Amino acid sequence: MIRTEKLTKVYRTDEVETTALNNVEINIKEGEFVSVMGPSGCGKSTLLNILGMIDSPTAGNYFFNEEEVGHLSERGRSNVRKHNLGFVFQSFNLIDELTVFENVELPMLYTKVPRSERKSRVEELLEGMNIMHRRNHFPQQLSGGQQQRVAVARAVVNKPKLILADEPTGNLDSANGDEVMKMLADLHATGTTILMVTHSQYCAEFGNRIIRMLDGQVVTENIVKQYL
Amino acid sequence: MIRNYFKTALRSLRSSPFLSLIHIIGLATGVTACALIFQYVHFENSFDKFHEHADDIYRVPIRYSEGFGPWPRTAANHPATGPTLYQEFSSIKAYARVLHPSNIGANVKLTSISRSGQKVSASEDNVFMTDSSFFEIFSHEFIYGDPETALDHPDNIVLTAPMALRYFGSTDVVGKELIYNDRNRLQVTGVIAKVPDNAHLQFDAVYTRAFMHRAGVIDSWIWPEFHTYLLLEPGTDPQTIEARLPAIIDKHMTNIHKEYGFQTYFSLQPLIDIHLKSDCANELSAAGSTRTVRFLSLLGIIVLLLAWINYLNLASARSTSRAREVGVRKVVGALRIQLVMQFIVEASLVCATAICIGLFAANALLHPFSELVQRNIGNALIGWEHLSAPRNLLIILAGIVLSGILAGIYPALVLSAFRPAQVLKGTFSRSRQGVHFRRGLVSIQMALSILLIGGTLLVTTQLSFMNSKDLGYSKDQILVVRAPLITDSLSYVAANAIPDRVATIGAVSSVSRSSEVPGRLIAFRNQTRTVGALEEEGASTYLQSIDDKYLETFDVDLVAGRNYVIEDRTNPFDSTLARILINETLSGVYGFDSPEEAIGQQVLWKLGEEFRRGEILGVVADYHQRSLREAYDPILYYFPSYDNWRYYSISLKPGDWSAALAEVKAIYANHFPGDIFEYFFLDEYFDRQYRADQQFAKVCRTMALLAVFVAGLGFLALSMLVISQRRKEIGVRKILGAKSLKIMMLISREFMVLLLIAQLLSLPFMIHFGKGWLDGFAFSVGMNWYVFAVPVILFVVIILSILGVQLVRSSALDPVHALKQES
Repeated sequence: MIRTEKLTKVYRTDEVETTALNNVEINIKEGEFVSVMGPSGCGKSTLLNILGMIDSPTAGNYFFNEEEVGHLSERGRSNVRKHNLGFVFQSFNLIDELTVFENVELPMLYTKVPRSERKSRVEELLEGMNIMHRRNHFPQQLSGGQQQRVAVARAVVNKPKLILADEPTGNLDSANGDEVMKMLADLHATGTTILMVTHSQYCAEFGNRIIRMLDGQVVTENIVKQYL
Repeated sequence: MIRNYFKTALRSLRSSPFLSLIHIIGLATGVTACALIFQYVHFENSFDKFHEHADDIYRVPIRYSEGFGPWPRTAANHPATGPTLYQEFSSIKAYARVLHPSNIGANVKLTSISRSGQKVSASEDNVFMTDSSFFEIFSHEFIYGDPETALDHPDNIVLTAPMALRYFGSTDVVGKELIYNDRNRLQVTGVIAKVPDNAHLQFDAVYTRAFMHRAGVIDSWIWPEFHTYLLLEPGTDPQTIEARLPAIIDKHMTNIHKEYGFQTYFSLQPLIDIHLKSDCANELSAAGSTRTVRFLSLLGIIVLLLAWINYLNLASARSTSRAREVGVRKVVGALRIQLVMQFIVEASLVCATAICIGLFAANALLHPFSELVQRNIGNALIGWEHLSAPRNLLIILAGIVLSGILAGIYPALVLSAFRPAQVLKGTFSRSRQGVHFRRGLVSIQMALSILLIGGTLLVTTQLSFMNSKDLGYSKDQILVVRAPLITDSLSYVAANAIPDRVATIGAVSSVSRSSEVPGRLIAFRNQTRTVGALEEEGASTYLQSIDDKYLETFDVDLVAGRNYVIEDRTNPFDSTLARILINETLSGVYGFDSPEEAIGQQVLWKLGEEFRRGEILGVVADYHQRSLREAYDPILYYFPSYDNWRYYSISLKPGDWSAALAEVKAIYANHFPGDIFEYFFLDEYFDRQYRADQQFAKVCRTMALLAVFVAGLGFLALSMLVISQRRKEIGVRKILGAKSLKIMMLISREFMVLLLIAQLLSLPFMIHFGKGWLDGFAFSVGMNWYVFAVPVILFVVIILSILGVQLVRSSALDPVHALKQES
């Protein structure tokens, strides 16, 4: 599903040039749950952003479903993204001005899903995540765990083929973190491909493969024990 | 999707109510100012357009050859012009000459006798003598009478409804009579509705007299006091008539041109251009001014511009708080165009609210604004009746969308350009370009406000200079009484007895009679020259009759020679040598090196048709006959043994004048029982000339206040944002020991630099426009330093006060908390 060739990302400011990714080559097959680990600044979030098509590489290629997408226009990336990808962020990134229902509904507005279908899909998801009773609340009125559940619901509402999660438990206590990880595991179990960046070994082991990065390069790739 | 845009927009506005309020109030203020000003402009542009044949009506003004007289053109023409042109051109459907009685030095007194025998009598200043075709040319709403025949005969009069009510207590008065100057009877043949405010000919009545067709009048090519209007056949090109005018002028006026030594030119001036575009002297009503209309439009646009800049500035400065939302929307699939649309919808919502509030406020303020501009500007443009028409609702809707696009496009482009990868990770930084843009906007905003404040100061100081400058005569404590109409030798004796009786009143220090008093243009003007000078060396001179008490009453100095004594009176119409006074300006025009040199010299001057001789007895110090806009007029004074004096001027001793006024009134009533006693105080009469300037100053002040208010609002909001964005820096500096004052200096430095840029930006405009405006005054205060300094000082105070309050609030916060919030 995902294949990169010598993927490189260099950030340039007036005086400094920082190589965030250096000739990264990875392969992720459909249905995999891959965790990316590494110290801060190793390039894992940059990798996630490029694979999530919200940033573009400086050099190298990125194939998504065998199609080169690394150098698409913004509009082109947006098109691929909205039909195939879902995002979960550490800081939830819910829109404060929208209710729970509206936040979850949002991606479907951009894919032109009919209103009735939007309603049923959102309600189904909120029921499944046990937050239906909060549907008319605003993000600030929810706990962190609840917010992240809403964020997960938003990420999956368009039935994406790939979910990209950037430290999804980073702002949660362990109980809520567990709950979110279980949700991701459940999604994986239904066939969704997941790529997750995390600092936590515990969370990483929810996946079936762990990629470790250092200084913009992939240093090791391990299969998680339970999948050996 | 649109629903989602609206929902987000509404909730976003609600989430920061103070900033939203500033957005809306700022824009609403701009809309209110603009709506009122556009209503005013609409009214000014609507003058005379209500006449059915407005496009085919022309006036025939005269332009004199260069060097003759101070005016480029005069609105009135010779009595023969109308009838002659009518005969010469088949394309002229009708003509009407309009004569204001004061232009031939006459007063009009009308008297009605009611059924009960009660007499109503008044001196009328707002009536016109005209021709029978007046109502064929001008469309007025007849309540009673037939417009086609109303003025068919001499001594017919058509009254406006208010005047009919005043004289008869009813409007159904066709067939009744009014007594004209105690001698003739005018028959009321029509009653029309009050003349609309947007007509340049404002009158209470028009009447016909055989005088207009008398030989010596209808064929007269001198006496340019008849405003002549032509109704052309539809589709006639006025230029075809204008092309033949020089030949007609030559045919009739060659001798006159030769005798007077000047050339005249006629032209056709469209009726609908008269109010705003006329450059003519001798207008029958105060003309509007394209310059004022343009200036006011500019003021309105400036206030709207300030409000718009506020919106742009605040919306783009607030963009950081919307960055995450933009990031999320992009991540879940929003295209840039969709985000642009979203923010334009949001701006449109703010604009719609502001436009609605602005239109409500404008309607509520129509009356005070009308008083401010001293015109009843109506509500034809912004009244609800007009606005609720489907076409206008569509225009408003289009206005909302357009203003939404104008206000929203820049913030929308800024916001939609955010890169989600950065904003969602929190590594987003404000673009330097955006900061420069906002600084530029703030500078422009300040520059515009400085211009308005400086301009207002300039206008105010010039007005106060005009009010306080020594006019060369005393205008205080002078009571001016309009002299009675002399109709026979008895009334002549009675009229002449009044000043002697008034002089015996204890509170009166002196009484004088004259044909004019200071405060308006002298009506009579003719050619004069020193004996021995060539005809072409003649000077266009104002002629005024005064008595031996005039200089004393008005406290005017004599710079050479002597004042009149009673024996100096001469009959102005016989050939005896008249004794005359001239003023310093005329002495200079004649070429005398000093006033003393003029004494004893003889002058040829004309009163009526014939030149006569006058010997200069004295030279009067120049004084301001008219406002300080005008240079000193060249004036020749004569002391006639017989004259229909128009004014008695009574100099009162300091103290309570009410008893003296009552006594003067009693003396007048004693000599002219039943006549209206009309009087005014000279200072008020003179100051009337500054009404337009005072009104202009008031409008400037109001607009400057609005500008400062809008700019202040914008600055308040911007400073709040700047401080909140620099909260981390302030926290760090506080922890490191910085004092609040030091922090304030640091933050305010950026604004002070912008203020300096604004001052530099505004400087050339201020000098250009200020000098241009002052050039309209013969006597001006000049550009003082404080016109440039005060606005800047005011802004420094505003900036420091707003920043001070903001920083005190911000510094009160725990710096640790501030740092925690930022991280």
